[in-house]
Amino acid sequence: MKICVCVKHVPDTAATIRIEGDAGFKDSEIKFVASPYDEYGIEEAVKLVEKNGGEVVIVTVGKPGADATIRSALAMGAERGILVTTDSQFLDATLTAKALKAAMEKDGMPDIIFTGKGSVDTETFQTQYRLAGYLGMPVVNDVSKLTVDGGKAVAELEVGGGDKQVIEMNLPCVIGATKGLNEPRYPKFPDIMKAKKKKIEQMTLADLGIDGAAGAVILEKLEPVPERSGAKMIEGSVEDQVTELIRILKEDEKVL
Amino acid sequence: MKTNARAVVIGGGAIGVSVAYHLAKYGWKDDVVLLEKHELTSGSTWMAAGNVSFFHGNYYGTQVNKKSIEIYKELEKETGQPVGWHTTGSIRTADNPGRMDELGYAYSMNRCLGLDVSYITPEEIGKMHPFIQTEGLLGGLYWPDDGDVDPNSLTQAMAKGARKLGVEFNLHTMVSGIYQKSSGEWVVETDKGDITCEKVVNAAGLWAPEVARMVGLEIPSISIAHTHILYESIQEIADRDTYLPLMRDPDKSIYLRQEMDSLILGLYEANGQQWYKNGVPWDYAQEEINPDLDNISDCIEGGIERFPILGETGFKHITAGPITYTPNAEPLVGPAAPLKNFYNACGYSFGITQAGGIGHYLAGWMMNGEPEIDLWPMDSRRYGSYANWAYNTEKIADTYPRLYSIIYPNEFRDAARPNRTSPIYEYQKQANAVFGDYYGWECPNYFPPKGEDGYEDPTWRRSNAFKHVGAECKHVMEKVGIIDLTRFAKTKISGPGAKAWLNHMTCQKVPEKDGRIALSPMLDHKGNFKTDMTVSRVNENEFFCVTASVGKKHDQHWMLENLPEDGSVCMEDITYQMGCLVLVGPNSRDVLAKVAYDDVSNDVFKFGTSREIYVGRTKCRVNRMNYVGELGFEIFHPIAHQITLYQDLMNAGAEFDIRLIGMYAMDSMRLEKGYLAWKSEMNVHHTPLETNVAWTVKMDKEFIGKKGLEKQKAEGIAQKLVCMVVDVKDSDPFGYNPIFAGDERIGMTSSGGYGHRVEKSIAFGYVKPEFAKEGTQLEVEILGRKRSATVSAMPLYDPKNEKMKS
Repeated sequence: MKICVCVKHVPDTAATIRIEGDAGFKDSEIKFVASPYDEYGIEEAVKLVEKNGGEVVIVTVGKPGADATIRSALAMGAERGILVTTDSQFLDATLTAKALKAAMEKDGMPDIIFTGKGSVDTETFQTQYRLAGYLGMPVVNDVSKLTVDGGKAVAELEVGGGDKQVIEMNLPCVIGATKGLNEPRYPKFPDIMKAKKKKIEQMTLADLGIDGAAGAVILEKLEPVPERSGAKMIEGSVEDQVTELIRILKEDEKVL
Repeated sequence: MKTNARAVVIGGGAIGVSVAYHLAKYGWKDDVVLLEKHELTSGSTWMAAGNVSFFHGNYYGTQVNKKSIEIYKELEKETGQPVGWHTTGSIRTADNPGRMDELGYAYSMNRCLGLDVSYITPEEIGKMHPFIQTEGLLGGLYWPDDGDVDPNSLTQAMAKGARKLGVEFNLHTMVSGIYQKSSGEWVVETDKGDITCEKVVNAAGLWAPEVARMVGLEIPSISIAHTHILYESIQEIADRDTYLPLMRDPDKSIYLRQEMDSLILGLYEANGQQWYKNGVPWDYAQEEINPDLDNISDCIEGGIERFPILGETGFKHITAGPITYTPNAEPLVGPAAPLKNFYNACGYSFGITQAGGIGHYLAGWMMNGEPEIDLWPMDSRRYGSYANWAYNTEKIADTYPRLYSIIYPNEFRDAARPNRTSPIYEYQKQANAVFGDYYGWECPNYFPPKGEDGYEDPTWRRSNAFKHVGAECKHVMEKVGIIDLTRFAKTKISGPGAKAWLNHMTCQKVPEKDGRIALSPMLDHKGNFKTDMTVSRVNENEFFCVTASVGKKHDQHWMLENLPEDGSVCMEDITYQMGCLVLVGPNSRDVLAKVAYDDVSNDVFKFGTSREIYVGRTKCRVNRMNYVGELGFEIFHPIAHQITLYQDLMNAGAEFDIRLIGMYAMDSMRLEKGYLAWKSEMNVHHTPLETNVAWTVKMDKEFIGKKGLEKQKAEGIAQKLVCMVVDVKDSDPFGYNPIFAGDERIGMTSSGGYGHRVEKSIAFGYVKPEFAKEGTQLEVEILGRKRSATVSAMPLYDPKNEKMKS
């Protein structure tokens, strides 16, 4: 069984993004991680291969520094990695999906493709759908339970109100992983050392015959969220406090 | 925001909050304002591991740690906010004999403070920490009262306590400038308005150098990305009922402590990454740095060797964050020279261990004018202008990976050297000098014969320098030598008010005749030693004052703080204009006579006098006095003439077999002569009345500290300085050794070493007066072993000063 896991190299959610120019940011000084939802995909893939044999290949489209993120995925038990290098952190989901498809086709098509349910940096939540569309595969997102048996996969997802949807599909397929699917393992130091020796194949969009400028979305401007100073303390009786809170949320913060 | 306050503390980390809390607690209450540009703990405190232990490389630092532990245990009671304190005990291991000696030093030094500390065997270590692999360990020390605290809760608890007492906390308030008004008051400018105050504390942590720059200071502090690793849950730990002790394996440069049901491994890697070494961005706040695993893998592997479970457990989280370091990794605390009412509390790389204690001690220092304990090891004035940014970045690169290296009293590390050199430096090198660095100066420690012992083995015992030092001492005793003391701090005091002011500053009577010299201690307001200087009277309105080189900034700051504002006294630092070569030994006068144009005979140039004479073509101020107790002359000269002067003296001395003499020989000889050393015998815990320089105290005049001495005279002294001869073969006393009479601890040594002229191992120490009688049999504990010691007459060498006066 061959499984590809699409992993995105994203800034740590706790990192302070310092904007540079109109639509860039200083990425040299912040901590990057594998997008957290992707880790559920990695764990699931590794478990499946541990059970059924085969290999897990990490496929990433990102800046050259993304190899560190691939290494962290390799430390969790994946076999090897493919990095399609780009110049920008911000990629249009169409372009990402095209690049992932081309890389997988070049490497040999997998039986299952995992992605996270969405990346925590741009949060467009589209890559898995577009990728499945280009490949003509079934796709289920937000999967919190998965069973693979022979040529079939059964995925469970929560649909609100406590209801669950259970979807059966044929392999190959695309699964968008989310919390609950498993508990991603913490890499041990010897695994991290082993991961350093694992192979990461690097290629550019051009190597795959993809025009890097072909994305449909152009990032025009990044603006910092203004820093808020301190918490507002609301005084008075519980009733007064609630009334005041609702007023603040409606009038001051305009979130209701 | 307030516009006026007694004290403004800049920085809301554990240190700043503790200083504010203690200032308020001890009486300044709502007259204290704290400024923080972001949230509390957002600089370095947030990423601290939270270890709190007694162990510290020096005696006074250990006391600060001890105070912290006392405070942390009481803080919840006082503030209602838990601090997450766990008493876990701690173990420090040793896998080589040098490390065992260091533990021996720590053991004996800790016993001076009455701490609970004991030696433990590898087997005992294995029992106390089931995850350790003890192979290769020789032993360790165990402190049962050590523990850990949650750095954030600790800071919040002290903040809560401070707020209750009225301290105003201004978060998200950025300091943009600081200036001093002509009245002496400080104005701290912020984006929320200005605050006028009496005292300012720079507790700005990562940004302390920037805050210092606002008042024209350059302070040596750079941040380094320190890393610690939290492992995933370990079932065997979850199943335990008691906490695992904090483990430090300094030989593997790691620490390991329990955190909930898991472990935290901290490490000091070989190549510490300096982070924004030119200045941390103002907008940085509580953010993790990308950990560099390759850079720390050696230490992680060392950790796995010692604790194999770490190889089988996943990394839950790797935290890397910036922490400040100074050239020797001790913090920068206390009055900031040359300013008045501006204090440092920064440069901390172990802020959680000391926050409580240093808050307490610095608050007391600010409020009372003097520190409760001698904080010299962390006093920011220990660094002179040589400790600039470039020095600092080179030095810290060497210091960080060696934070867990064995501390040796005789180790002078090579990094960031040389800095200041005497003009005759190249001659000293040609004479095979092995140099030490003192306040940035390269100064020869000893001169071995060519090809021998050009590197001194670091040790707590007698080193390979021993026999060479002995040869130098004998040479000075029998012939003549030159000691380079160019590094002496020299201050010219002049003006119509000079004499009266000096009389106010020292307990000694300032010389009444031109050319007279007086040994002149300066005391603090309690009567304790501030410093000690040699005052030579040039004329009625001009005095030439010499103090120890390492105390230059401290001593001159004290003078400057007390200088009259009316301009009647002029103080001029002439340290870098004048060198000093000490010509010493029975043939020194013969050598000087050969080159001097003036009569230097005993009739004309008497002991204890100072003259301006021509030594060759160099016009010199010569004091007939020295620190080794032989006939000798301290020849102060314009530094540009030094080589000429040196050549003249060496040529004239050739027939007397003149040679260069180093610092080690000088220190050996001063012990034999009963001469006191600054910050060893002369520190803030002792008055001259307890020592053999009680004769310098002249109670028939007014001076700073007189009241304290009067009180002590009335009450009687509690301690007395004694000289002891110690029965040892290879490990001489060094200071901070406990002194015992039977099982009772009755004092502590202040310094020690071997006297080569008297061929005895010597310790100076303060003991209860009833044990000060000559012939009293005591014991001095050295490296964990009690050695018999006999109280002896002081000095041991030439008690009638016949040699110096000859």
